[in-house]
Amino acid sequence: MKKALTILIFLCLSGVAPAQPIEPPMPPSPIATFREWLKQSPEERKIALARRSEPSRKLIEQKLEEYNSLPPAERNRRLDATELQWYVTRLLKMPKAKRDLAVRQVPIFWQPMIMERFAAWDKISPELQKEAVEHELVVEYLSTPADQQAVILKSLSEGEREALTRRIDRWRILPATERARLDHRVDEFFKMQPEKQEKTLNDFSAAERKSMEETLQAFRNLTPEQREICIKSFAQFAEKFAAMDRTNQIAFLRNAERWQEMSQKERNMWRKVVAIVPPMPPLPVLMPPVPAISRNSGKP
Amino acid sequence: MKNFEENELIDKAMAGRLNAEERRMWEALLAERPELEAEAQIGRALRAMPKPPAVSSNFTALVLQEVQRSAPERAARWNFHWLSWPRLMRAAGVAVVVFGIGVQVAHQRRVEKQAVAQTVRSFAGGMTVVAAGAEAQPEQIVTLLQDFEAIRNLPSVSDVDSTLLAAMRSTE
Repeated sequence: MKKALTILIFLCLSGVAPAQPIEPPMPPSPIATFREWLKQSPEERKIALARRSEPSRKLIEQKLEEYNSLPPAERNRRLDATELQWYVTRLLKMPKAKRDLAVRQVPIFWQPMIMERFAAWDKISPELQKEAVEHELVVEYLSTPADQQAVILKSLSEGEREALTRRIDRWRILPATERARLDHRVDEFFKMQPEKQEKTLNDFSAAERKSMEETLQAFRNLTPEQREICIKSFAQFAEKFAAMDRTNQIAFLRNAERWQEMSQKERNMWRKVVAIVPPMPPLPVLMPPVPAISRNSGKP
Repeated sequence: MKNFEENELIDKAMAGRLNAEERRMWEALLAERPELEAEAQIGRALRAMPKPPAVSSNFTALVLQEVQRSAPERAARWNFHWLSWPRLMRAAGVAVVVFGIGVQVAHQRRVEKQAVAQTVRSFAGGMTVVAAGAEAQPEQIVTLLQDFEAIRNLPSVSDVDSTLLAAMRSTE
């Protein structure tokens, strides 16, 4: 008895700590599972989904049907984007050390893309990371390739697209040589006497003059310094906007609408993130050969 | 008379250096060959010409210098030639020049006015396009213009299927 007690005390004091809890492995991506189901026969799917609840099964069956009807390229693109976002969302909230371990458990195909994104993310200060990680916008930014204009166009209805196109057409963007003198000329106009300003715009139709006057009136009330900042900002903006193609211009106007809906706090956070993290590169188009079915084997 | 003597006599006759004996012989020769008289006359004419001036060693340079010196003088004389025109013509000329300049200035002003007008229209149009849907407060518009990169990079739409993720999550 005494001997047993001695051994127990020895064991306690010798620092034999209980084994470190093993981190659960990175769970398999649900999109990888979904890809498997897409390849199965209806009977196999029935068995695979048998354990799901009725509403959940119906939802998944609808999705399977939807994805089966898509052209292969589009199907892959959507599944890739969704799967990458799933990994990024999971990993983003982990501390760096834990995340580095978890990334190793991600299928090899995804690892370079994920590492590239987190390399950019790690440049942000911990304080900003803490603030940004709560925003879906940041997760989307990190997991979405920058070149998504075609997707934006597709997401718009015919009416929305036409309205945005009309808006852009209303703006007669000057040619490059004239744009170079934009700030000087607008400044010259605002320095004119009101009668001379009126005379300058005489060549336009009454309706056009009225519409211009409404906008210009707001700028007449600014101080010369404010007006100078405004005109200079506009000149730079016009230069960048003119350099974009129509699809990008439409996408920009859509984003501008969204920007106006964001709170000041969100905008501040977003400005800081974008200043540090560059836009994400596109996902590779050529996909590796489909491996044998395995839940954690990465992309099928 | 030997040929040599004859030639010497002709040379001396052309040079006008004949003595009495030689003159007698020359006249006898002329009687025989009257065509020699023409040669003798040419010789006398050449002798009567004044001597050419001595040519300087930098003759070409001097000629060019002279040409350069005289050319502006000629041009200047030509430029002010119009001053010799009648008074009325001069006044008409000045009027035409002044009118031409006036037309050019007026045209330039009209072009510049049009350019300013087009620029202002583009400015107002751009403001309307950018600020559509927002309150057209210049301060807000300026913020919008200055945040170009932040706005452009907003991930407004992506291929991510959040409904699929939600459906799959419900089965996890």
